[in-house]
Amino acid sequence: MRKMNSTYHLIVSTVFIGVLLTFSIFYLTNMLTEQKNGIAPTCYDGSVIESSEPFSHLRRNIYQQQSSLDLVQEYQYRVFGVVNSNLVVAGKNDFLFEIVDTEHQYNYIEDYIGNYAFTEEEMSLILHRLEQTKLSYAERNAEYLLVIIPNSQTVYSECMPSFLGDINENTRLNVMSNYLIEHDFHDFIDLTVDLRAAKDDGLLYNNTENSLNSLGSYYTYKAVYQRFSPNVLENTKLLERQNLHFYQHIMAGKRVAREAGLADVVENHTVSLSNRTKLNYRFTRSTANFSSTFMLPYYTPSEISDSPELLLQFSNTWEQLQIEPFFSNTFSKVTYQTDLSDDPVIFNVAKPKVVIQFIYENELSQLLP
Amino acid sequence: MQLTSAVFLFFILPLSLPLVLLLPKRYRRLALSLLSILIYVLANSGNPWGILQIGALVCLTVTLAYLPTPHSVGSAKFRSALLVAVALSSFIGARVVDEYFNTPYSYPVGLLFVTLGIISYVFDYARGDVIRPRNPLELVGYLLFFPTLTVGPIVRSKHYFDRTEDIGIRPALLTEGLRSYMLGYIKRVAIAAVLMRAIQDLLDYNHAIFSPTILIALLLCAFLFFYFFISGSADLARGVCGMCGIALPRDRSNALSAPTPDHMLYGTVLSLRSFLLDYVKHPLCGKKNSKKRRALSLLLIYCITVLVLRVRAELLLIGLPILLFSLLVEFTPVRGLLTAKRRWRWLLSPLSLLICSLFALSLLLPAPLDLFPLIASAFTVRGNYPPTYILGVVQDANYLLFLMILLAVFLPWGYLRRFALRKVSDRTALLLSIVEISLLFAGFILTLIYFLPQFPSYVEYAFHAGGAP
Repeated sequence: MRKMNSTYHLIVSTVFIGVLLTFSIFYLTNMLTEQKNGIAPTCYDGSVIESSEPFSHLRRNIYQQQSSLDLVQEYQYRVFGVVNSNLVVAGKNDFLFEIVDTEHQYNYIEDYIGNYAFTEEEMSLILHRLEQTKLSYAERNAEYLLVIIPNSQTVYSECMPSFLGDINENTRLNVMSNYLIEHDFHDFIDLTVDLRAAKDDGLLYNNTENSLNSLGSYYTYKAVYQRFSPNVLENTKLLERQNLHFYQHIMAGKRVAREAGLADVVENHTVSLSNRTKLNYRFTRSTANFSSTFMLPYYTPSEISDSPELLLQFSNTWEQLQIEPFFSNTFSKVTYQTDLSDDPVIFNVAKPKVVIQFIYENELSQLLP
Repeated sequence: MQLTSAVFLFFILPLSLPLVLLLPKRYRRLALSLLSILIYVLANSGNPWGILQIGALVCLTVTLAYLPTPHSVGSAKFRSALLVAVALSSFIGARVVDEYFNTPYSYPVGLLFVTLGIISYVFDYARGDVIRPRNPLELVGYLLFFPTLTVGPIVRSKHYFDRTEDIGIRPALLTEGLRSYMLGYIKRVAIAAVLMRAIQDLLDYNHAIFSPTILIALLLCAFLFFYFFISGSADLARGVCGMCGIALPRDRSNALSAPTPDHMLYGTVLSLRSFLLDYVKHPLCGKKNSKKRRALSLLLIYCITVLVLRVRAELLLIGLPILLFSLLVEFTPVRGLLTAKRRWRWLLSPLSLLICSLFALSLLLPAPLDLFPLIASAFTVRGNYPPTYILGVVQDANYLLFLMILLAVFLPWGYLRRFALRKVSDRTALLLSIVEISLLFAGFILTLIYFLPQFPSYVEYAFHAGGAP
């Protein structure tokens, strides 16, 4: 070793001691002025420091400190595009995608890669069930339409992480759509093409949740509206895009961002319908499971107006709230149901001519008997 | 508690070292011994049986060491053999119970190094290389010497007692110690820990996506993990010793470019190879140095090394290519070829790396023989995963890619540094050192802020082969 200047040794030692003391004082101060919300429930790796362990108080302030963990997660995401969660993957353009939907036993990534399609047997069961549902409503003079809303990863596949490559052709939705068409079942809409075509108009999905925003709901409405018979199209009026005003605003990250611990880091770019939009309808009935609207000035039955009564079934209330201004401003009577069941009470209230079920791509397993 | 522990780094180290160094010179070794005992108890808190076992072993050693010297050589030899046998059987027994039986007993931290310390003291004392320390606590201090207790390197008693004779602040050694500590900290926490998490991620996903690409990544991660874990630990130990004014002997072999797998495996940074050569091979071969004895000593060194890493008989089978390689080098003209033509060394290194990686991976698996189904599953086609899918499986893939580039850039730094410091002027050497230490400080602070909170269990508790990922 070459002999170094003594000043050099002094400076190196002083800086090292300075660094250690800075950290020591920081952690000691934190420990002495400890606030309950300053300590995270678990360490970064999910472990918990037990009170019986030596120096547990001090170690909790080092490894379970919320601000420290937030800092790590923020820089991990910003610098390396990494999310510390087995349930979320970071995409491009501030998109966060779910990996697993435990409620519906669905794996988004496996499906994206093409390893998660329904089996032939499962698809035949789904087809059978859809035909039964259609028949059941037909017996009650109602038509049936299934609307499948693709996942955000399907529409914004270019925002998925590069390591996953391009979206596979054999996704569950693609394979099932082809199967239904091959077997002459046409009473469904796969919105993938419509929503992909509308992407240039603005953001259609929430970037931190697998859900449509207001603009996406408008294009869903438009695609559904175009499926009605010419008679209906003639007697009702589509809300034109140029007459509607949407605005984009930023809010804290939604569910997926919260799951990843990044709610304050990844903001949600929300597109909402302007408050200036005229609501030309009123609620006539509103319960926990359903609500009905009449178009103003008064309700005219479909036999006279040729505007069919609709029963729209959703798997969650969020979609209903988003889509309500469009359908209720177009059709004379619309009933919104917050589940997909065939409820005779709701059916009798709605007296629908058309029953439309909205279902997300990740919820397709609900179609299995 | 390990040398990477935040409590040790931020509180115990800054409080205890000045206390030791401010004492009068003659009390410093004693104070260091007391500090080692305190840290040992803290490291094994929650494991009372372990403390009891080590305590009994240390007490037996001290008692036998301080009994009056026997008159006959036979009695002296018997006493030494008894001590070595007790130490070895205690170590092997602890490892076997920990590995094979599900009992409340857990393997005490540092038992391996206490055992090797006892063997070293017995041999060195018998050879006359070391004299009995004045105070029994000093012998306890050697056996429980805290900087090297959890992951080594192995300090032989003659080196320890020589070098702790005159503990004090030496500016050059202190700076070198700080440099070494920071480097070791970065290696252990910012590199080895991330590699361990990558191995964990890859093994977790093996059921679905295992492919030849992932197998190669896994092998590379396993080897690099062991390299950075062991060399980082050695740097940490050397660093803490440097801060105390003790210069640990340095192993100069570079495991990353070692030509033969036995040199890589014997983990020269752990000093195990030189320890075994000194205490096993040389006494066994003696002056005759016959082929039979050399082969036997190689076999013994191999078995001891493997079993020191993990007491599993099947590991001896998995590591067999390493033994064959060492026999080949010992008894064929390969050794001459390697000495004469340096380019052969570089050709053999990748092969050695592959063999050692397989061995390192089997060490990490809960059952070492799981290695073979794992390799087989890599060649079973399942699903249509893109080759880049591995980047999604490993949480820190982007960081590791960045790290690999950094390592490739800094790999020749060790050679360049030694070369530059010899050739350039004092002024340039100082400038180089300033740049290097500034980079180390930056890396060290980054590690403390960004990596330390990510690995609480890893930095606090001792790593067990087969347990961690």
